[in-house]
Amino acid sequence: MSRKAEVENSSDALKKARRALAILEEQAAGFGKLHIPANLQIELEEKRREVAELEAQGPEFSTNNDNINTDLHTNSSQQKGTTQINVVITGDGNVIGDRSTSQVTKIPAPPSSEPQNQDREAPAWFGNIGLSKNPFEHLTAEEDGDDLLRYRIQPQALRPLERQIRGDETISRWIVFGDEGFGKTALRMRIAQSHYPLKTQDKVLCIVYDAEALNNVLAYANHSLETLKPTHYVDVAYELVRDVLEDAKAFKKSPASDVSARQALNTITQAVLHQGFRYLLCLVDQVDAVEIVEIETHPEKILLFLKPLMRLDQLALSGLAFRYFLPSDLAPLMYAQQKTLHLGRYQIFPLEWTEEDLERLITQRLSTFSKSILNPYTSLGQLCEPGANFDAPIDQALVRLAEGSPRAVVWLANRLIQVHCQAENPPRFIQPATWQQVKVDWRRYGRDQLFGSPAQSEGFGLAGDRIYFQGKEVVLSEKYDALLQCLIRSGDKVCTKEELIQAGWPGERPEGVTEAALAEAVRRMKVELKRMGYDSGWVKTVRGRGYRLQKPQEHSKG
Amino acid sequence: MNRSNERCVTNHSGVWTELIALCLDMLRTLPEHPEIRLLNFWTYRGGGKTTFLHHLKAALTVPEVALVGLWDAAVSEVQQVIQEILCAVEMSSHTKKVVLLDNLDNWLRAGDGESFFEFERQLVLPLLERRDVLLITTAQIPVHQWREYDVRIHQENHLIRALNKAEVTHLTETWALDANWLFEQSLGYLQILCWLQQEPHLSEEALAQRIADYFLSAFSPMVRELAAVAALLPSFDVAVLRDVLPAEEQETPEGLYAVYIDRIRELIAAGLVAWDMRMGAYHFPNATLRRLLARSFQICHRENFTRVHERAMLYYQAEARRPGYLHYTLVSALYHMASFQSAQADGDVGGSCKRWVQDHISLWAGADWPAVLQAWQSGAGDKTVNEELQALLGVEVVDEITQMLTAAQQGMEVTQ
Repeated sequence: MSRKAEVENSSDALKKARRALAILEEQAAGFGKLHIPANLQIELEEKRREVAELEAQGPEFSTNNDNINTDLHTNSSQQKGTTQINVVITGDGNVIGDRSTSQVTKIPAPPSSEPQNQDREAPAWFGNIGLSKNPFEHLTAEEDGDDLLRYRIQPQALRPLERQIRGDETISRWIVFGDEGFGKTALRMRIAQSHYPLKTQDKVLCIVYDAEALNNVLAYANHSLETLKPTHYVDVAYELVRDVLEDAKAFKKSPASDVSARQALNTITQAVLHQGFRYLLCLVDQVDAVEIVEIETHPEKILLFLKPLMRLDQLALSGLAFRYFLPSDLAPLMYAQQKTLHLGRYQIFPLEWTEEDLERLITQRLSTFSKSILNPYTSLGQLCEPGANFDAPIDQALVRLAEGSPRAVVWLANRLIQVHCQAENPPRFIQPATWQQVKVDWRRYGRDQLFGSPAQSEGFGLAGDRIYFQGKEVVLSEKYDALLQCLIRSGDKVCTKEELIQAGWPGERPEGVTEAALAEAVRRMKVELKRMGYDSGWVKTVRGRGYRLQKPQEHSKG
Repeated sequence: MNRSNERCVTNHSGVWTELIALCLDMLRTLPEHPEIRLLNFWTYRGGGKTTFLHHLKAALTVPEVALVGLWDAAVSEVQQVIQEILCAVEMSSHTKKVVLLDNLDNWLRAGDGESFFEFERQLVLPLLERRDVLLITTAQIPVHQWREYDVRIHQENHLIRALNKAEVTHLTETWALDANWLFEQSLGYLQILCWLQQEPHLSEEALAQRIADYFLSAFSPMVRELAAVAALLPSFDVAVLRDVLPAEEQETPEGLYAVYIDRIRELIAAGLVAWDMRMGAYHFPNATLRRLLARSFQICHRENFTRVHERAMLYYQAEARRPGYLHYTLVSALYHMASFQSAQADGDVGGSCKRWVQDHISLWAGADWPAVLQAWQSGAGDKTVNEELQALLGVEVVDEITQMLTAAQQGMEVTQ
């Protein structure tokens, strides 16, 4: 079937589904909202879902909304690989980092979906339901600013360690790894806020190498990694400390050319101690926002950028401590060079969120912005139409969509409220159709904004638990799907036989599955991939160790 | 609980041992690794808040621990308590200190709650920073309203549960009353035990009426009615309430929902009802209290009891036609079916419930079977519902239904 015929068929299906939905809605209207028979309600829900899914399938199928087409056009051009996006700037000027690309492109916010009249209507709605404002309007820690501590929560796993990472007792070294939007900057801000100069009574002086400071470091090195030296970090440290220390006279910079970076940093540290501080705490965050080649395809450049600082850090100067908040993508690379980087000297914490953590995030934000102190909202479910058969308790459904990302939870909850407030007179309760719309929006562009599109990856990629190859979903039988997911998760590292056996035979003892069985399963997986038209040469055997994914040409060249 | 009742149940050990052990564990971490420095124990009125603190006091005999004192927010001004506690903590030379505060939520309920936030800023924060103090409070609700991040990450809420049979036996061994009878009547709820100790000849009807009066007296008649009916439902939303408790006509459905929700919110503020995020519905977080209220309703309003269960049964059975939602509806459907038939003395309750499952199981293709099984086996997260189902259906029928659901799950796996 030609592409045109396919589009026409799908468009017909959408039209038919919409017509059927209109008829059902008319029937339902005859009963009044409270007395719709259960069977009609069921049919209505199913039809709404069908329409939503058809609308989500592609731009061409959606015929009644020019704005949606515009938005989808943006996505499809990304899928064709014509646009690479590093930072997404939404229509309202918010900047969202995207993990996967290098250029900066302005993507217009989807005009049809953005609540143009939110400012006018929303305050009334919030007031009516008892919220002081939209608890999810800020997507990033920077937007939250000082307010963050009013509703910030942390993953439960972090609780026993937060004090140590904050550096209250010891000046040990820490690296916190986390994906984009997982709370690295929030944690960094929290730590900064608990020390001088933000907390004036404290005796630890805290400076932050954030995106701006790190770009200054690079500027000192003439924007070249090749000329970057530890002294460039020291120069910026000098500026940062000078900006916050009250007695700047006591603090004189030694000309960098005259002394080593170690000596210069020691001078700064001693000056800080001389001012009565217990130590100087340096927080390093937003390395992926440094203006060098982007991290997804060249994480080693980030590492090259960091190495001079880590070398300085390891000189064990007394009165100096470092905390790094680094993208998870760097972890495999750093572990591969752990001896060179002396990773053994660092305490390492991976920032991960459980579903319970994310549910607590929703509860805390709603609770903080509830007007009733005694009876705060604790769940989005309390804002939704009662008994309207959302497809699951909404908080859980939302958290599952978010794939462990707190930023995604905030995005989805904010979108839910925004879409609801778009209505002329927003009803008191959020309707199931609104949630359907949010899910469509998430699939259409939200997920890509936050996580980057699997369409943009060159080879196999994962979106949640779905496998994609160059933007096209790959559907394999269960075992092979598990094996391929395991390989994808290993990135360019070797996926060991043990890891694959655990993934492919989850209920069985590893020793119960022979290597021959694994090899046969991998062979069959490759056959299945080939049958579906994919190049099975991507799956490479690493003799004696396991398997890994590698681009076939590189493989053959190698 | 009044003071005379308090006396009748204090000075006994062997109750709430796990909660007391939790406090002692937290004390052990002071001052080096204190993850939690504020514990709030909560239960509805008459659930044993003050009694619990007295038991805890008695258990705090660790040499290096100083019990700084016990204060009551229900009878003291916040500023006075703050000054007294700060002073007493300063005076203590022990390496670990415990501060007890009863009825913390009283300050939240007073006016705009500013007393509570003064308490947080002026006392809780400084005490947390000291790291050698464990602050233990009680309240009628779990307290989540803390504004300070440092407080939030160092606090936990725990329910003061009803006593179990062994604890009731232990507690009442000198009462000259049959412990089994006491447990059956009270379900381990402390206030009921106290009434029975003082008035062992209280009739079933009088006890039922007293339960309804005591636990629901703080509410307006409408809210009271809603609470009494909702107690028959292990979990409920406004849609089912609309069926089982018709309210006065409203112009719009939204208006009707709003009426119910406003009433429910009163119950939430009192600590009687909470939103269950997992089920997407309201429930009574204190299951024992729900069962006491349900029993009271059954005795005082027998006909209505049957009618409510019948309507709830019809509602949930209709809902259970949707396989995708079965894990949210199956337990309630069977619970109300069994309760309705049992109230009607309708012969083989277990048999008809089993038949209903048999008749419908082929229609439930596409259900999330692991979730359905998990909901069934856990009483949708409430083990007292499980106990009630076992009592209503019989253990054998419960097992047979479990087998049917398991077989359906296995069938699904084979198909896949």
